[in-house]
Amino acid sequence: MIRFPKAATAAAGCLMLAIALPAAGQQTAAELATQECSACHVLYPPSFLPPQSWQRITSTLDQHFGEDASLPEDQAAKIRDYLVAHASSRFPTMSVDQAPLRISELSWFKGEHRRLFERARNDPAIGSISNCGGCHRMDGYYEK
Amino acid sequence: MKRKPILPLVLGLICTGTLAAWAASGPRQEILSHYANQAGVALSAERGRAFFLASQTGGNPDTPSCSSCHTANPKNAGRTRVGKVIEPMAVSRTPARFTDAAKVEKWFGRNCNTVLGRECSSQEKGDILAYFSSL
Repeated sequence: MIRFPKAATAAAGCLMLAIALPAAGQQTAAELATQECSACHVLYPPSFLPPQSWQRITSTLDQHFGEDASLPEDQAAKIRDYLVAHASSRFPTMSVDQAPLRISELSWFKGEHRRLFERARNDPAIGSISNCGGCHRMDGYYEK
Repeated sequence: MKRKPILPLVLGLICTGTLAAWAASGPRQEILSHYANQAGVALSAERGRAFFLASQTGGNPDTPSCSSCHTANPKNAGRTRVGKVIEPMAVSRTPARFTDAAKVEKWFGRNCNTVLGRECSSQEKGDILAYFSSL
């Protein structure tokens, strides 16, 4: 039987642990987007807006609906690529300047939530129409 | 009697000891010391409390104070403007707080700009952290 010297085994284990600790910080783009966006609000589904909107939003994070939500450019770019890759393809010719910034201003959204804007605002447990999880199950099906 | 190999034990102890020391060396304490050194004064939890509660101008008028979102009691959970819960800032309630220097800098950078329309000084940051750590 080949016997590894215990000292070598211990040293190798120590080295592997030292390598594994920083490697645990490696995130996929989806994980990064979820972590950063949902620090303040639910991660809105990328397919709710066209790619032009996500380009606008992720390029102006220092002025994000009245808040400074700045990120280092490498992280913003990684999130931008993820959102754009999963965006809606319904408005292929829209210019970036015209792209909507708020999901809550899209006509289908307003139609679905007609009487609920005021109710959400006035209910302290919900707070805002932007708090999807205040009413919906946030498991991808959006059931109420 | 066969001699027991002592080297693996020693190496194991060094390895465990180093990792434990690294974990317990107090990343929060390091962050506090960093701000205190930069400020050149001793940090004050009382000044931090006053700053946390103060009504500011220069930023977004919807959020004139730290307490606009974090509530006046850092032991309580706060809420973002869209209603998401913010875990309490008090270290006694959320022990993982202020152990990642980059994260601390990121949020001071954002929130000072949103609330005050400017960066916070090292003293302001350090005082606030001293306050949250004292609760």
